[in-house]
Amino acid sequence: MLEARLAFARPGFDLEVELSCAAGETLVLVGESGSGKTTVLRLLAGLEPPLAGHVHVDGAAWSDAASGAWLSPERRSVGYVAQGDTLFPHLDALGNVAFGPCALGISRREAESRAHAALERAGASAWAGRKPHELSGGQKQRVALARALVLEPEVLLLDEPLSALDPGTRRELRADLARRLPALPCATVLVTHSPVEALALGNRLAAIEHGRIVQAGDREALVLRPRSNYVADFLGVNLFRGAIRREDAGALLAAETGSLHVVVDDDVADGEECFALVNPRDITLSLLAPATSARNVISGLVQEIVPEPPHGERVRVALDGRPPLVAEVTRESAAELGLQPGLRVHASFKSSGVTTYR
Amino acid sequence: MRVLAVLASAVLALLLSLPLAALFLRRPPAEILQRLADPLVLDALRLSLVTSLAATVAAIVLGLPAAYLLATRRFRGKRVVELLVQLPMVLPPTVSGFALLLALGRAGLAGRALEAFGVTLPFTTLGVIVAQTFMAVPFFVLAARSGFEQVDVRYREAAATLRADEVRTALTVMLPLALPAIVAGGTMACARALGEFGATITFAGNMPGLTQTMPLAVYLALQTDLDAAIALSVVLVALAIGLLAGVHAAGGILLGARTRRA
Repeated sequence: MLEARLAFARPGFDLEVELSCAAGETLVLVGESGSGKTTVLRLLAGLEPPLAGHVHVDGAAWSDAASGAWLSPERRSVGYVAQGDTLFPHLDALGNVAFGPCALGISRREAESRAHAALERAGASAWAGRKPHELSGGQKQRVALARALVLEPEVLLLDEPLSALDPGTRRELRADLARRLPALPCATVLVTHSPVEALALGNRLAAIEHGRIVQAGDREALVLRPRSNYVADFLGVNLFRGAIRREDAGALLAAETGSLHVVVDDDVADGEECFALVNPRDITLSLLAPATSARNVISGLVQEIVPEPPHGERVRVALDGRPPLVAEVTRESAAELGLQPGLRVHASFKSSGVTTYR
Repeated sequence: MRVLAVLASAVLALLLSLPLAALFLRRPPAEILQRLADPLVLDALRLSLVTSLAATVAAIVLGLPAAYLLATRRFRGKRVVELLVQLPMVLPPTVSGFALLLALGRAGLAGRALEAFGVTLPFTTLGVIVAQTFMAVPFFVLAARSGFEQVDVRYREAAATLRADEVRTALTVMLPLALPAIVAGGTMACARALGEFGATITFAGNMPGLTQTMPLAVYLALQTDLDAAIALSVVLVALAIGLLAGVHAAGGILLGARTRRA
């Protein structure tokens, strides 16, 4: 069990984060670059001195500002796959993986046999004799993972393990990780800016923004009820926050950027702050004001049209209405409507289609 | 502007190559080779090789830890240490030799203590090695330090997260990765020791077979035996070129092995 409270500051940036991760669990930290994800990992590994707080692993204090306890990185049972290529360039894959066991004073023979086993588990044994410059990005990443895991660390830290790879390799390695991580006995903290990776690899997710965790929880809670613009962006949904104003027939949520008709539970008081979530797929676009029972009709200019991966059968359409919205329609209907940037369209959706929560 | 630049470069090339040409063309090669067997030349050559190699080893042994600490640490007085390490490069060599004499000479600051241990430096072969080391070590430290500094800090951090303490990291990660620079620095130090004149003659004197290294022998022969001076000079130039080529080759091979296909 990893439990940490981390405080850190450097000019122009400060961080205060609390997190915990059980053995066998994968906690995914998601955030934009510069949000402090990597700093969290560096603090956990002991590569960065904390301003305050503690890192406790299974009750042992790796660092504790209160008691003054401090373990330097080499005395922490941690496997760290840093961002980019950090394999030692002068050692072959086997030498890289055997480095840790050798440093612990294990005999060279034993170290190499453990390294072989670790490479095997990472699906990298075929390249044991190759130097890093002879390996592809995906191969390097597998060797790096074997190197981080060979000592069976209590805590595994992965910093954007898939970001430098081409799409095909990334998919393959992501599937591998998704299979392997749950089987590992260590507490794993993985950092990524990719929603797909986060959702594919984490049991629990924590979104980090400007050095603060803005939302944490299990995957389902995060997907169904995002509580920050960052998480909403990353899930690709429309999220609004504002006070509820009860009306005769339903309620209105007044967000800063515009108002929506919503349906709220009876126990929501008038004036209470709520979130409103609109799935882009629930939005209908039309050129003329629609004759519909949908309570919400918002007109705006098309700002951008982006095909959705993987095949672009659906497109995401950004509108600059009040409030601004993103709608998702099929490619055919986008063509039928003749959608293009600058065109005025009407977006309509039912008030019951808006998910409202506190 | 371009014409001027080409002209200046041509003048520079002439300035650098003409003396060498003069040296090699003064006597037929056969005659030069013959003079190499001269005891004066052979003694100086042997002494020079022994002392400059010893000085190189001393510079590496003493300079490697300093280079590592300067590259990886911040500490109070670092500037002073840096200045101290660089000073011999800019001091007039005779001043360095004189200062060595005042420090390590028989009546010098530390000379008496050395004497008590039965170590005499001035006017001995050991003194030659000390003078050459003094003059050569800055070149080694400078190169090795920059070699250590160029090793990506992420490798050091990776080693730390793989349970390696600093000594192990220094020996098994930093040293191999900085090796091209270390070899280049050692070669530069060797070349500097080989060519050292002023500090050697001031501190160790000019005694054939004992302290008369090749540059000193050239100077002496210049006044008595021009042909011997030419032969000695040709050998020194050849050695210098060899060392320079060595620096380039070592750098190329070691770096090439690392960055090929990168």
